[in-house]
Parts: sequence; structure tokens; C-alpha cells
Amino acid sequence: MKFREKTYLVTLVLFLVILNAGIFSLAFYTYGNNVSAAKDIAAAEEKVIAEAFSNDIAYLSREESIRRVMDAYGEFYKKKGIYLSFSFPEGDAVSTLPAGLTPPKAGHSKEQRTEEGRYFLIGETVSRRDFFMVYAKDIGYLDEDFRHLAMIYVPVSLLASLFLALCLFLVLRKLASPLERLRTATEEMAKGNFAVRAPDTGKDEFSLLGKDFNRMAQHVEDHTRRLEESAATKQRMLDDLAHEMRTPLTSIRGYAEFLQIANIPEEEKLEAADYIISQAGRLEKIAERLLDEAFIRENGIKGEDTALLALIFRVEKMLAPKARTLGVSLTVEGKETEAYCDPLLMEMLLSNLADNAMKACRQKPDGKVTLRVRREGEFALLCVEDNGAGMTEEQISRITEPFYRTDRSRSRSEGGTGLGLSLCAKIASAHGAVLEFRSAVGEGTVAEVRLGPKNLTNP
Amino acid sequence: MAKILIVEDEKPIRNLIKRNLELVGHTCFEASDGDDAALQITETPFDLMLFDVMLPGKDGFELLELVRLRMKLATPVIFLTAKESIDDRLKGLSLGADDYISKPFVLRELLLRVQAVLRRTMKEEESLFFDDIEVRFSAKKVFRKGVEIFLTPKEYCLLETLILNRNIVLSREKLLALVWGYDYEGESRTVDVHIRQIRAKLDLKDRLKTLYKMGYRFELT
Repeated sequence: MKFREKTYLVTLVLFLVILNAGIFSLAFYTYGNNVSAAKDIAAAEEKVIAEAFSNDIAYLSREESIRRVMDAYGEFYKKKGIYLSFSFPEGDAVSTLPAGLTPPKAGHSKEQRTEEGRYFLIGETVSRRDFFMVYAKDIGYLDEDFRHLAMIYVPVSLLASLFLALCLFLVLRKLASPLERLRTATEEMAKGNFAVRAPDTGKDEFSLLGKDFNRMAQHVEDHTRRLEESAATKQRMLDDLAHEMRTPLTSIRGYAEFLQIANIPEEEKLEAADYIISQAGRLEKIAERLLDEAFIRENGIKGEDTALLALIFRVEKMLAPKARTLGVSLTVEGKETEAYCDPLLMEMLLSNLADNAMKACRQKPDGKVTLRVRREGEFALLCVEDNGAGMTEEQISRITEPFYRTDRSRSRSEGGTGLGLSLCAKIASAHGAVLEFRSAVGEGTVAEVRLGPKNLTNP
Repeated sequence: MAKILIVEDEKPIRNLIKRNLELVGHTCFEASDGDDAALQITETPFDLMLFDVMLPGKDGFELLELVRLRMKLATPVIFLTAKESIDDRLKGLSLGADDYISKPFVLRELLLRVQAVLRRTMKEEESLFFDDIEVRFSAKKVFRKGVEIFLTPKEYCLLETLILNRNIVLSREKLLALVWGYDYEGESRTVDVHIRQIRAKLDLKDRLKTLYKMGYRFELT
């Protein structure tokens, strides 16, 4: 059973029991009071009657006159619901008492019920002449009143109970509604909708609980989103990898099949074999790049204080032959400065950037790539600047994604894996450095690595 | 045979397809991107076109739209792509592609599909002449020095299959399936017997080669 229903039932039952018990005991108390008050009045009446009777017969001596007085009293009070009986000391009596009543002893009172009603009887010896008077008053009206009251009370109580039940239900529902909404939110969340929020305005426990719930939900949502994003990135990378592998595999398989079944001259066989080897090389290169990334991820960097100008000169020397072939001029600028980094990885990063820069210059007659080092406060900046084709904003935002290419077919035909800049970004982040691209289409690109001091490196 | 346009940005694959189609006697034209392909399509009438879906410039779907909707050509088109999602396949077919081959493909499958599409759409050639022999496809007859050489229907069918797949090795199982039907439960020796008959009747020892463990190849370049 729900908490609200439990509270409702318990409260309602408790309330009804206490309310009714209270009203009933009050009614009984009042009834008791009424009865004793009626008896007191009766006693006083009896005294007055006895007194008056005693006075009225004080001067009568004839039995007949006395009897007449007795009859007159009897008749008179009978109309008022009071029954009297007067007994002569000899035992003879004048009585209006209903049948079945037994008189009490003199000076005593008692209650007696007969078929007709409930009577209060008082016995008294009237002074002077020793008459024994019995006073009986019908007090059945008290019971009648009580029954009447009860008859009104039961439906009223029922109505009140119903009204109470309704009010209690509404109040409880109102009070428990934040809890109900919190529960709905929890249920929603259990189904996987992490964007739900519980009501949290107010200061009661439910609102506090709602606030805590919302904090938790926010946390779960953020965490889930991060996990989803990371899973999606990985999945995309895997999909792309499958695609990347498929093309060389298709070629390898196709040429092998071709060699096997076709009737072709020696020359073409050699060409087919060449394709097989170069496509296998492409696969190898992809695997190598992925392993490089894995290596950096697993082993981190081996940092040391490195002379950066010397480092970019080494890169320039390494790429000079390729620059000549592509007809691009490759120069170095800057003053010597030191920074904490892994020299081998930094060389790999810069040569990748420079390689891309040279490829971007390919179509320009005066292609120019500049490797530059400079210091900006505690940061060391390594720049690779070219005056090549440039990139759009959209291209820049995606350029470090694995297998993203700005020029798909050309990059592939030149043996690019599409993983170079992805690797660069990983190297930079392993150094705690920032890799940034600025570019204008048709004018060129600047790639910049911002290396912090040692304590910023290796976060 | 047919004039075929191959649109594929990966040079190794384009080259591979070209060489294979040329082997069986087709004439091939190449395009490495969608724009070049569009230009060639407007200039030259082709018998068949092979489109990669993901291309620099116009992609394969756009090329197909150009062909079907704007140029109103019925030239058969086969899509050739690494993407094999059902959506792509349906999109290609609903735009009016004739077939769909996903990479990596088996060469012989490609050749057979090309053949199947061409058989549906192209008028068959009248005859093929080589040496002193004429194979008259329309009449399913073979003449040597102008004299008809009688071949059984199976022998003729086998010869035609080998000629249509010239310069390519076909295994005995493949030939059984193509000539006798996929549910034929005969032995592969059946093929050997028929090959011997064809060789004897037409003196084709030099053209109809046996490749050890591989099958048979009809050589004609």
C-alpha cells in the first residue's frame, strides 16, 4: 500500500474513533447529569407536595374529607405526569400509581421500570397524621430525549465522517503531491530518461529530497552523456576504421584474384603485385599509427627539458628532401628556448604538421612553410605556418577526428592514413598542451602548439 | 562488347575493375570524381555505368539523378560501394539503379553481374569471329570456314559461357552451375567430357586451356 493511502487510512480511522468516542461519552455524561437533575427536581417537588398536602389536611379530621383532598392531589398531579399514593396508617390507600410499582420505604427513593415507562419513586411519611405518601414521576422522557438525540446524531456523524474523509484525502493528496511527482520522476529515470527533474521549490523535506534527486539526476545525465559521447566517438572511429580497411582489402583481394584467374602478360602481373604490396602497406601504416596512439596512451610521455629551436631544425632537416620534391620552401625562424616535453613525440607532432602544411601548398607555385618557435611568458609556442589552400571553419573543427580528410581522394592516393592529426592532438594533450589551427581559405593555415611550463605538463 | 564507364575515386580499385572488364572484351572509360563523370556522361553514350556512392564532387546518387531524371537516359547503372547499409541500397535502387555490389566484392561476381545487366539491356551481338571460326550468337550456331559445325545444346552453351567470360578461369563447379543449372547434381567430369568434345570439333586446343586444379579458360585477346 502506498504511504499516502496508509497515512490516510490510519489518520481517518483514528480520527473517527476518537471523535465518536468523545461525542458519545459527552452524550452519556449529559444524560447522566439530566437524570440526576431530574431526580433532584423530583425530590424538591415531592417535598413541596408533601408539605402542601400536610398543610391542606392539617385541619381536616374526617376521613372522607381527607380522601377528597387525596383524590384532588392525585388527579391534579397525574396531569403533570406525577403519580401519588397516600396510605392511611391502617393500610387503606388512595393511589394513582400505575400498576406494578412497588413503593420504597419511607425516606428512601428508587427507580423502577415497568412496561409503560421508567419511574422515579420516593416514599415519605407525611408529618402529623403519619400518612405514607409515595411519589412517582415518569422520567421516561429522558430516555426518549436521548434516543431522539442519538437518531439525529448517527446521520450527522456519518455525514461529518464522510466530509472529514474527503477533506483528509484532498489535504493528503496536496501534501503528498511532491512525493508523487518525485516518484514519477524516479520511475521515468529508471526507464532511461535522464532529463527528468523533480519539483524542488519550497522548504519541506520533500523539496529537499527533490533538490537532492535533481542533483543526482544532473550528475547521472552528465555522466551518461559523456559515456555516450565517448562510446559514439569510439564507434565512429571503429566504423571509419572498418571502412578504411575495406578499400585496401578489396584491392588486395581483387588483384590476387585477378592474378589467379586472368590470362595476362608478365608486365600486368607485376603491376597487380605492386598494387597488392602498396595496399598492404596502407593497412600497415594504419596499424602503425593506431599502435603509436596506443603507445602514447599507455606509456605517457618521457619528458625532459628540450631545446626547441634545435628540435625544429631536426624536423626541417628530416623533411627537406620531401619539400624539394614538392617544390615547397621550408624555413625555420625563432630564438632558442627550452621547454619540458618528450622530444621524440614533439618531433613526430611537428613533422606531421609540417607534412600536412607542405601538402596544402602543393598547388601553389610559391609554396612556403615556416617552422617557428617563440616564447610568450611561461608558454613556449611552436608554429607551423603555410600559405597553402587553407581550411573552412567546419574543416578545422573536424580535422583532428580520426580518418577525417579535407581532400579525401588526394590524401589517400598519396598514402595518407587520415590519422596524422588525430595523433598530433593526442600527443599535444598528453603534454597538457593546446593544439590550435587558424586558417583562411586560399591564404594558408597556422598550426600552433602551446607548451606550458613543467608543472602544467602531465596534468 | 560494351562501353562501360567506371566512376571510382580509389585508383587501385578503379584500375582493377577496368582490367577485369577489358579482359572479357569490354571497352572501359574512367572517372575519379563525380564532376568528371558527369562531363563524360553528357559527352559519350555508354552501355553501362558503375558508380561508387561516396565520391569527391557529385556523389553516386547525384550522378544517377543526373542520368535518370535530367538526361532521361535508361543506361544501366550498377552501384559499387563500401557502404552496404540497407538505406543506401534502397535509395540507390529506388532512384533506378540496376544492381548494387558492395565492397569488398569478388571479381567473378562483379563480372557476372555486369554480364547479367548487359544481357537484359543490350541487344546481343550477332557474331564473334576468331581464327577461322564464327560463333553466331543469335542463331546459337558455330561455323568453321563457313561450314556449320554441329554442337549439342550443352556444348554450345558451354562454349558461349567461356567466350563471354574470356580470359578468365572458370572452375568446373562454376561451369556446371552456369551451364547445367545450380541444382544439377552431376559430376565435374561432365564438364571435362564436353570440353573435350568442343576442342575436338572446333580444334580449339590453343584457345581453350586447361589450368591445373583451377578450371578452364578461353583465351582471346
